[in-house]
Amino acid sequence: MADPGYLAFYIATGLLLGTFYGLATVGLSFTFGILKILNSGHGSFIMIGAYVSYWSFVILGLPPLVSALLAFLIGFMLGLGLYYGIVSRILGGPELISLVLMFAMGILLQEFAKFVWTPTIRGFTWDLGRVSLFGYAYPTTRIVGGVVSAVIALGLYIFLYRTKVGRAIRSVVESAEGATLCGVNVNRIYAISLAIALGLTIASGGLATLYVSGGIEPYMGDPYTTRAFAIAVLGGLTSPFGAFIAGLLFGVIENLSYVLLSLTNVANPFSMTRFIAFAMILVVLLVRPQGIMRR
Amino acid sequence: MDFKKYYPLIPMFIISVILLAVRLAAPELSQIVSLALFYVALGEAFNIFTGLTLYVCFGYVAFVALGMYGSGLALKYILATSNPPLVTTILFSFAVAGFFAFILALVVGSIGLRLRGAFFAIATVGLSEGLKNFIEGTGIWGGSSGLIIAGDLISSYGHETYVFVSTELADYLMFAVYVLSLLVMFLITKSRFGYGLTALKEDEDVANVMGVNTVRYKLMTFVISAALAGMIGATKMLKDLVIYPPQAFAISYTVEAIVITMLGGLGTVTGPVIGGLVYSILKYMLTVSFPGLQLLILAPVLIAVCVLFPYGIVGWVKRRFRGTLIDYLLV
Repeated sequence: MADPGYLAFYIATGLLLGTFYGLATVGLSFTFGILKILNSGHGSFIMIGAYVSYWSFVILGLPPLVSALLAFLIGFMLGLGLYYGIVSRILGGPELISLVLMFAMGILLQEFAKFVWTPTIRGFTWDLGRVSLFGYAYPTTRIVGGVVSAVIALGLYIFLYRTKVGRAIRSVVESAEGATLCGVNVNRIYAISLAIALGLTIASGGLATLYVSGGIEPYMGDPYTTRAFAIAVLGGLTSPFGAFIAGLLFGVIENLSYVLLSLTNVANPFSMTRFIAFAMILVVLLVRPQGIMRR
Repeated sequence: MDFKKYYPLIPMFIISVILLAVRLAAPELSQIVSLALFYVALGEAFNIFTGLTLYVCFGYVAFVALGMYGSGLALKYILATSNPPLVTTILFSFAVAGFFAFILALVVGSIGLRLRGAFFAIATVGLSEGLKNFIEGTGIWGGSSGLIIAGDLISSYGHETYVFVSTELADYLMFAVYVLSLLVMFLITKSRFGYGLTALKEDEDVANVMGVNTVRYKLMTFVISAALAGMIGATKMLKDLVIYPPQAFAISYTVEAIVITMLGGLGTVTGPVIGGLVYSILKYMLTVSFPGLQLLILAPVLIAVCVLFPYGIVGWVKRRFRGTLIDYLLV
């Protein structure tokens, strides 16, 4: 433990894991920031992404980084369908309804996955060898996955700040009425935003397969819901980029607490890291409800 | 004294008497009756918080589970140290169950309820998972191998009492908790406290300005609701006499509580009664014909209720028959 290289290794793997956590949370913050809807079934969409990745690999032989694109498209279509079919009908109603609705949506996806694909735990290995840095070996797939996650986040930034649709989205965040007056079709912006958010979430689920050790099963999303909420709160909840940075931080915190807990030997570190995510939500909400990014 | 405001208790009293009579007259129906009582009580306990404040706790099952643990631990403790009469043991275990859930709600609520709407929901989404992982991770209270109480009960009171407790007594206690949750909800809605909550539900800022301490009001409904859920957990523990973390913290209870309340009518006293009765009969039939598929059927129902039917059955009937006797008696 005294070896600083050992610590650096865990921080580095935490950062790599964090890129995935960040990407998995961007969609959550996006929906909350724009539609003012909290996706309480968030983890189930990640689970769907993991299945997309799995079946693409098993049936089509596509590596997870390629199938992430497919996952994004599926999520995009799902988001559009969900918006025009259901979500647009409850916008402007009580917040409780949207919370319960998305929660029910998450349960539905889980039970659907269980019904269609059975509760069997599945998994596949996509191995590209290892990269050695300072005496520690890192799986290449994770490094590539981390780079791809960062590139996607950057792409989202460019989309929001350098395109016309992105500007329209930002104007809706500022004021939906004001945007309407300026000729923005708010309804369409909402639809596109939900589609992008779910697309990113499902794509991130595809990347999850690079990190998940436990395998792919219908209920794998639940821990990610808690984690994504912890990260989103840490990042200020409405800012997608705050969420990405908070994701990096969370990856490091989780990895280091895992190391620390395995050293102390009091508790099962695997279960405890999941408890930590929940405890962190309460602590952050208590101490800094506005998140780490805002002053 | 104004007795008129208690008239709406009459239909609820009739329903309760019918349920009790069915239980006494036809023991073969005891399973479905106790299922109905459990779900009505769970829905009503959930309704006290969510229906009156429009805040939702996605980790609600944690209170039921903590009630199970509280009563189980209390039973184990009291039977290991002394040999009191059965009544004392049961009362003690119920008190501890309510207390455990109360403390958890106090901790989560005093942090989470300072926040508004969705932020509170965020704080509670990981509640049941987090607590389950805490119990499994640290290995307290039997950890992942669970708590088994049946043995303690048999060695202290003998086999006959054990059978009586887990079949008959658990049902009557369930009935008692059911009556208690209905009464609590009814009395809250007819009290000054309830009017404050109505104001809070309409507009939290305005309620604050009008002198309603919104944080304290929300916290009070939350701890009352949680304590009731804890006692529901205690009766469940008496029925099963074993507690395993995955079953105790099963998310389906949270979903069921939401469905029953929303289907019946959010914020109405009779809503969860009707929702609970409909749901338990449905569930009883579904488990026979489609075992393991309840949630797959439940989730679309909940989505449909949210989109098409947000006031629930009671809310719809009250709107349809506004100003008539039905509207008056159906609170």
